[in-house]
Amino acid sequence: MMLASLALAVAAMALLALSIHRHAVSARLALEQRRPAAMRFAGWVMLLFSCAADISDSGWRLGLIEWIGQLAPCAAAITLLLTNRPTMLPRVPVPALMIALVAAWW
Amino acid sequence: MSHRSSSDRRAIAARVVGGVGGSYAVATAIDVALARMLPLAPAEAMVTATLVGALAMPTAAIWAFGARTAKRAWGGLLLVGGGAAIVALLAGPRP
Amino acid sequence: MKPRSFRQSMAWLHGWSGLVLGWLLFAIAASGTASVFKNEISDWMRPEVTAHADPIEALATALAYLHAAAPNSPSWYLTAPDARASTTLALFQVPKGVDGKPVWHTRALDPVTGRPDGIRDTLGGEFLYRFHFELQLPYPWGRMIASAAGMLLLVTLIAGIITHKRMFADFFTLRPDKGKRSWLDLHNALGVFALPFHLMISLTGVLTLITLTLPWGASTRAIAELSPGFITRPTTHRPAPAADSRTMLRDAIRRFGNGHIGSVAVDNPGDAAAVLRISRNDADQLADGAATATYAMATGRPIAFYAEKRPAKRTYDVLYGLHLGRFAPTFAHWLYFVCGLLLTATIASGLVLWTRSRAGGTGFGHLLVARLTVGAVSGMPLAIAAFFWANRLLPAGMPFRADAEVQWFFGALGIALIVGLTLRPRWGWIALMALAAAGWSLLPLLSALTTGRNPALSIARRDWIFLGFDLVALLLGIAAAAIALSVTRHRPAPARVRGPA
Repeated sequence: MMLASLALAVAAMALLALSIHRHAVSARLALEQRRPAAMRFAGWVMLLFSCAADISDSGWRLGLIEWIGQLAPCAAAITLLLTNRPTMLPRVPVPALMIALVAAWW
Repeated sequence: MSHRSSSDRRAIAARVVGGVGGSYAVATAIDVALARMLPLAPAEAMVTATLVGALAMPTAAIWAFGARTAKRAWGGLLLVGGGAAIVALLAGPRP
Repeated sequence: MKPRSFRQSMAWLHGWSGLVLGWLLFAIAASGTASVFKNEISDWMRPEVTAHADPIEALATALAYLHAAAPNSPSWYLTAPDARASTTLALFQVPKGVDGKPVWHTRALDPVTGRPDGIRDTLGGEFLYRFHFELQLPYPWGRMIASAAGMLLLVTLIAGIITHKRMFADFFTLRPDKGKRSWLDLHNALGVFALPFHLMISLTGVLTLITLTLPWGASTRAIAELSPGFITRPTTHRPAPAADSRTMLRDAIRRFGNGHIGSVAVDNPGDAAAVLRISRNDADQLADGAATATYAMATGRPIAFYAEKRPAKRTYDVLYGLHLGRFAPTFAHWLYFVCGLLLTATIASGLVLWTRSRAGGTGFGHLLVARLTVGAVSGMPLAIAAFFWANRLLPAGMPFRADAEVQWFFGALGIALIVGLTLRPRWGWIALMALAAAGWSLLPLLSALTTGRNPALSIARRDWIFLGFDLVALLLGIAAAAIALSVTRHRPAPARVRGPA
């Protein structure tokens, strides 16, 4: 579940990044693939699910603390990817989501 | 920095004294006032008062530096701090 | 000052308050981050201890040792071994020293034998922990300065948040090779990613020392009633042997709902009225110091049991516990460590940004800030590495060994500050960061050579503490090397005539 939570957070951050015009441009996202509103919505929903995964694993208090704590390295990872290999960013959400689903139902 | 006039320096000094000394004074006044007047057991009142005082200090510091003029900054500090001090004096020390 | 917008005032405040104690805050943040793993560090610094024992047995043998070694001490304090610490830490007070002040001795006791024999004299991770809030200064000055620094950090953070205009829009933005803009991006990123942590740790940090800084709300009754769990009895000056401690310890665990023991305190050991206070382990719950069981040591009879339930005090205990982070299991512990590193890096990047944003300044003040930054920021990692090198290199039996290790720490810090002040910043960074890189990345090798415990052995023995330590040391060394390299590669833009800003 910890892995599921991390993977969901990474997918969420990637989507939220891609929803920003400047980053969609550097990631060379095709115009028809850019859906800022949908991506933002999906991103926030995944963040919530990531939070839920942590809470179901470790209880309210510890789960919330773990969730907030892990957002930092996830955000850092996405930012580093965006800075160094922006074109790889669009390829992150789907595999990350797959990993999350597998990890959750394992 | 040498282009600052002496009135600028005085304004900055006023803000710094207010931000540092003034915020501490306000926090202390609120701490004592609450510790004396809160209708809780003495230890509970002291802890609550200290927690509120701890939050009051950065708030007062932000006010001291963020208020539009130095006069306003000090006015706010004196108002809140003075008010709390009056409450503290009226409540009197806990037995 | 011309009337400025609120945001502009906050920007001014953030810049100046960050500078005033920035170097000290960096040292506090760095030592605090290291303290997350202070128990593991202590174990690494006492490689002779490989045994593990049941905490009750370990405490029982430790108490037996203290009865023999410090029978006339008025006060003993033992920290129980648990999942994260192998040794029992014993502190005992000796009857007043020459100047009348109480003197405390520290011993690390083997968990099986209860004796300190064969364990090298070192402060372990406790040194970094103490430095974090006492700054090696006498009571109460160190703590007061640390408390003031913490409050300043909190104000700086709040001012920074208010100033940061496009926090969400700029969230993922990191533009390299743009000079001052890049440093601002980095500083913002480091600050925003772990913002909830930064706010929490600075507020709770201030609260841990608040009894020293805002004591004015206290009244005699309030203080008397603050800690009902702390029960003691005056000495009767009649010696009496102690009852079996194992019975009392087991009873305490039962009262803790099968929890764990955190620490044990003994008042007037060996006396007929000796009191044994057993406190619950902080790893059991979020609140610090949640429950205490007190026993009459001569008879083994329980005197009192107290579990804190009052709302205000419990809130304070929870906030205190949040700062210590001892409640956290392994994953959350690593998160504390990573976020602590981010906070330390935020402060460092802020200091560098400060010198960059006033580029063109050649005044003495600017020079001093730039060079002190070099020394302070490279100094801390260098000093901590030196501390660990001392632990491995200093001979085991040498007198005042623990003090010598501390001297290596401050020596390295001093050297870094002097080098930083002497060399031009570019060369200062390269030299000191390269030295830090060597110091950290060679540490696992040094450790393997001096103790025989290498990573392969650690994996075979499932010794995760030693393996984790070696890995973190290596990563920190690589990070320092990367910084040194990037400074070497960076060619500052040729000086341009600055038009109107």
